Amino acid sequence: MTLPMQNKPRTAHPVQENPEPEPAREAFLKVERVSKSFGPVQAVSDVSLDIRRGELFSLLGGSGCGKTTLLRMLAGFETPSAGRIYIDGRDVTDVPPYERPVNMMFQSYALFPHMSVEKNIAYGLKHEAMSRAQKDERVRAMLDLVQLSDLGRRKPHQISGGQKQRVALARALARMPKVLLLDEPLGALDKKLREQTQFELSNIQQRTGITFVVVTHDQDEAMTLSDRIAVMRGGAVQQIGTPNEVYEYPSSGFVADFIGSINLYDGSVVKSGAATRVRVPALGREVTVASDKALETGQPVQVAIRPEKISIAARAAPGAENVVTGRIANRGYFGKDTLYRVRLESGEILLASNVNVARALGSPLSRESEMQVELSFAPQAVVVLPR
Amino acid sequence: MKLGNGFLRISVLCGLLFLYLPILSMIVFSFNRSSLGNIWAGFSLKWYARLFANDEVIAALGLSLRIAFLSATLATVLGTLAALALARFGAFRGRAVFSGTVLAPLVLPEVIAGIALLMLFILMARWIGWPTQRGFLTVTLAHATYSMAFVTTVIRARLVAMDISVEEAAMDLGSTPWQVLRDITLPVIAPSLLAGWLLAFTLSLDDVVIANFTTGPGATTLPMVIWSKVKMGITPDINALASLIIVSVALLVLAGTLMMGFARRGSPD
Repeated sequence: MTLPMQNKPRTAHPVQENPEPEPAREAFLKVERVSKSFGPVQAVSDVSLDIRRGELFSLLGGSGCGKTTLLRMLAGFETPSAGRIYIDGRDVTDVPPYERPVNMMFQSYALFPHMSVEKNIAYGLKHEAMSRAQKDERVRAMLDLVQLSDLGRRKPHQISGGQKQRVALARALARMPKVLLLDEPLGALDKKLREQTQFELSNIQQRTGITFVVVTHDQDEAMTLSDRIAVMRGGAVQQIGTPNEVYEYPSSGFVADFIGSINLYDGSVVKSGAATRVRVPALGREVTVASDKALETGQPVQVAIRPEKISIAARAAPGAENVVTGRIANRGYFGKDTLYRVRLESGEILLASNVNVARALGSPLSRESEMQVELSFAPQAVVVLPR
Repeated sequence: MKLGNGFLRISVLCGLLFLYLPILSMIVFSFNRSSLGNIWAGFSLKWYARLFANDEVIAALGLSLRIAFLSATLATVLGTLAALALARFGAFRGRAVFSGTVLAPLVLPEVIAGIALLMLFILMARWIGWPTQRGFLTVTLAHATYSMAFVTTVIRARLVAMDISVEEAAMDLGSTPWQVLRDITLPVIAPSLLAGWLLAFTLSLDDVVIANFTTGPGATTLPMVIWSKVKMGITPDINALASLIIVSVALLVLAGTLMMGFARRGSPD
């Protein structure tokens, strides 16, 4: 389990205590109440998105959540059963794929097997009003952009998977589309190459300024790449927000659980107001939370706490809030951190992770089985979700 | 293990002999000096010489080649269209019926196909006054009709195996469906087009049944000449002719196999 990285190099999202809606900017790519059904199967239901110019927007969800169908509707390969799609103010809902100002990078890369890398990249330019020299220049620029200048004359079967991925990207970018659609752009690469390519991709997006819409099932990828993420489930959008927002302020238990790992327990509000208290049977106590939501006494809720926001120690620091006790059931050592599965007195499991700051070998916490521990978390660490 | 190995080798050898001994003996006896089919009397090329001096055989060979070329081309065009319809146009109305009727000739006995085509040509001559006589054109059409099923099967298999997103990518890059067909689909499946054409060509070249039904006076294909000659006993010049046909068919098959090999290497996986 890898926890999402927050070291996005460009647009730094201010760490907000209370997420406020960002100032409304004009939508560049507007999806308006779009639905799509294949016979009795509803693949996409009533999705609305406002994607801004120059944004890197991700559609994140498990398989069958409708993200690929939505992307194919943006490309024009599928027609919505209901709803409209606008790009840069123009209604493109009924425009065929070959007349849309968008290009797509396919999951299988879909390179033309009988053409060289250069010819692949140049293919889309034959429909543009450009001179031969301009086309050659563009192809060269694209090859430079993806660092494949030496491989222009190779055929697709003569290059590696990572190189194919970059040719596919260069080919899709060559026409300078208004929107670039990427279907699982890193899905076919191995882990090391994927991490490397992630940054390259967001670099290229930044340099070209083209609006990217990325479909992915990988939450780490979505977190690292995106300006904003739409989390999808069952054909509908669950939440739209910056990586920071969907991670720290999930709107539902599903989003909380899908992005990263989280402890989710049922509870009910005991006292609302400034110092809200929630009774959580699984934790065997009342928990103090700092919730911005208007809660009523007696309201059933879910509390969600990220493992890295829970301190674990033999004895909790004096003055620590929300202390619960338990015994360590298992440990997962990941090098940079250790994940503890702690069995509470209620029998429930609580996940807590600890960054391994010191190079200590054999501290009791990392060694002793069934060790009794005290866990604590700040009121601000708790997300309260309606149930 | 060693015993198993030896057994394997002998089995393979027996199998190959079973398949190729008749052909091999025919080729060998085509170089026989004696005119008696079963006695070896030394090496000679005289049957080949006599074959090339036989105007009837040469004319029949020319006719067969022309029919095979034209019918194979026609079958490839029609077969490609049928394969595209079956592999790319989704579930259109009557698709199952179309699929069945296009592929039925694969299992239809040639005799039936021959009779049916003959009936059709006779009826057409009566109703629309065409064809006025049966011969080159009717045999060509009959062969094209028959071999189209085989061509369709070969090309359809390739289309189904091809990654559709390659075509979508071309459309996404601004090409209309016709341009996609011309720039992407046809070049990618080109080897299977050639393979289908070669198959149709060979089918036409060695057909005797359908040709017998649908031809008329003055248009005798090579297999028909051989058939009529054999009825009066096998002569060594038939051996020579058959040997030449086998060698050329073997070369065509080899070319087709190489093409299919290229097709696989060119595919995007």
